[in-house]
Amino acid sequence: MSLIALAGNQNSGKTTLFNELTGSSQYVGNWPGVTVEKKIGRLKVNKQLAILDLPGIYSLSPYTLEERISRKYLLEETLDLIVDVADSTNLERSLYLTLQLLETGLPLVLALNMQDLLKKQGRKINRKKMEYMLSLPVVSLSAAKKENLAGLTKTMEQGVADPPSYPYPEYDDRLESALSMISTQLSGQVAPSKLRYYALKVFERDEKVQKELQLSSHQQKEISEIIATAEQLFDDSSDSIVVNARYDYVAQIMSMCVVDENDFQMSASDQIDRIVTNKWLALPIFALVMWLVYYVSIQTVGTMGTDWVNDNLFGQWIPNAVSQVLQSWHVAGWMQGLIIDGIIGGVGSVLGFVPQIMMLFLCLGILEDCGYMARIAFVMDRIFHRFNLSGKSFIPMLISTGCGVPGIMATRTIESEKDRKMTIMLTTFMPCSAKLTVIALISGTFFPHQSWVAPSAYFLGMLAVVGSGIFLKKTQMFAGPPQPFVMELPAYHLPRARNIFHYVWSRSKRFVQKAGTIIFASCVVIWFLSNFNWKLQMVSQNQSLLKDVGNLLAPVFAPLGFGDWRATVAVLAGLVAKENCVGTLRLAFGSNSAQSFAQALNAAYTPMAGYAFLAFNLLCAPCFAAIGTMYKEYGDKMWTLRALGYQTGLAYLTALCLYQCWLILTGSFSWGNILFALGGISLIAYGLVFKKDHSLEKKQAVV
Amino acid sequence: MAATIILGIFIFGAFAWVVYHKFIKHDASDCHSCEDVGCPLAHAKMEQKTSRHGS
Repeated sequence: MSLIALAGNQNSGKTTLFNELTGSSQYVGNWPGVTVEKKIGRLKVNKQLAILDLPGIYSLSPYTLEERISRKYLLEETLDLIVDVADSTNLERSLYLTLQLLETGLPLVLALNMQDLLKKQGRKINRKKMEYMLSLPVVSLSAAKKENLAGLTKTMEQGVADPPSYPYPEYDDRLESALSMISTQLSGQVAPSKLRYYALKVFERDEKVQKELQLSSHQQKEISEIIATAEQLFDDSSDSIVVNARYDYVAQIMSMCVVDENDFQMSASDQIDRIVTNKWLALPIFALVMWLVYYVSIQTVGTMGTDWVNDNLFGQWIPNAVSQVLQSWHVAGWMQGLIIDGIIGGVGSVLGFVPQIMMLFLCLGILEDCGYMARIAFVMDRIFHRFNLSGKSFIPMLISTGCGVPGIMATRTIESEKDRKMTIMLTTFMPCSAKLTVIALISGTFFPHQSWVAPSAYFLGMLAVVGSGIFLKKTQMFAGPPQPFVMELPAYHLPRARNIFHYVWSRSKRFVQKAGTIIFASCVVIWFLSNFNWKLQMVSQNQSLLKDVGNLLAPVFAPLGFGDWRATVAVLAGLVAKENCVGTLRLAFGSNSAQSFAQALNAAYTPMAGYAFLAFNLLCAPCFAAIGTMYKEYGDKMWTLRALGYQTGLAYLTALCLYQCWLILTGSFSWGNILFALGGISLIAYGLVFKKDHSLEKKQAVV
Repeated sequence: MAATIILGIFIFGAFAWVVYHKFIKHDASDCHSCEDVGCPLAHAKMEQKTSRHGS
């Protein structure tokens, strides 16, 4: 009769398998001298094969009683075959024992149990690969579901008839070198088939084995030196070295043989990305999303709040209340004018946009938190690459939609110096939260029921970026191939309320703080300039310092449609903070209410002049804070001036083309308009189409 | 008159403070509150805090 031992971890289904294989023909007793149960039975289908159910063990290290029993039996008794029952759902733990059994050199079959549970987990084990890697017969089964017991039985019969032989698992070269030297010391004392096992046990400083071998003092010294050297090399204790080596081997087997079917299935994020980042659908979806964002925040929901704040809070309640208080305190007339018209009027006109700003931040916060904004960078990279740009440059631009300062600083992540300098120049083309007030003012005043205006400002910025990229990449200063762009797309998830709240609160708080500081100071200055002349006498606006300064530069903006002193000083004040454009216009027009302000603007400028004003302020030199940051990042005055010159030049060109073309299209034009329009369009065409690409010239020269 | 002077001191004092802090004083940072303007590093810190407290 042949004896087959079932070995394996506890809870690997060993006993279930034993029961299925032996049926009722089993004998239960105790292992000699201990209370641990010993179960032995005959195979149902072949009574010549006896099956022994060894106590469950995790390793052959002799710590627990069960481990000592199992190890003793496995190493000292004559077994025809060992069936190592592994829990397929905990393969890493099970294979540790398998490796130790392989080290013994005993005839072994690996039974991968609990296949039914593994299938439920969506995983598979490549049995043939595992057989190849271990050079062992491997059988997949489920003892609980009685699946493939016949296969195991057949393999057991074959194993008994022709015991499988296999190479030992080979570990780290340094460990193998130490084991080889220890084996040399032990040869003669241990059977060749067991040399590997004993070498490992001696290396691990196994006390039982050391007692068993009775090594001479010379052997002990040599072996100690070998172990000490290995410990020094690995910077670890000998038993840890072996444990780690085994687990490394197990990890290799796992990575080669265990397949997670979920890896090949598309997650929900992947399925959404198939549409959202699709070659054809990505841009239209992006355009639709941004249109919706601006429509909700600037045109509809946000407008309700803004109208209320402008008409009621800063239109009547606060001015009326403050006016009464000031009059009751007999405050001087000029001081009342400063407070009511200058500070409340100016700052109030900016704070009036807080509802729209908050709504916009809410929408952008949702897009960012759910993971969509990361896809935009990926989508833009595809487009950017066509024009020798990199999607990496788009990340700072995304940040700039909050504020240009961190956007400019984010260019530090761009390795290519040329691309970095170019990105610094272009990043402020994206409308920041300050420019939103200008967008909201122009779209609300000149295009009250047209939802395309606000999102068009966003796309105008992007167009300026792409167009500038195409042009600048053709110049020697910035020519070069685009940088590769790799980014991890986070999985989509429902936006988290806490994150959104923080996003909206922090940005809105910043907006209000800015209004209470920089805008407040600007309004004080603008009020004085608009109410005093060069002799510091209080005068009407038409004789004020402000008008004189504005009139000096106004002719420059005449071709853009807003060549009057009010718009000019608004542009200049915008250099301090873009919100100042709104506050300055309000002060310059001297309106008492939001409605009269809107009427005054409509009377002074045409809608297209208003749009040209918007385009100019969107693209021209940014605020002082951003300019300061540009200077810090460039580290050079010339580069900063170059960037400011380019930005302002492009802003002028864009506004010029928009306004002049509109005049031509509406039929109210002169030869001057045609010349301006042709000049502007020609410049754009030259920059985008006709200008020679210096990077191509270089490539041709090399060839 | 007194009210005018007091208001004047308050308003021009505030004006001077803003001009000094925003344009004259050279701070280490460009924004006094990076988190507020969407600095991604500050945002990452905030995300860490949120996940520690929220999870």
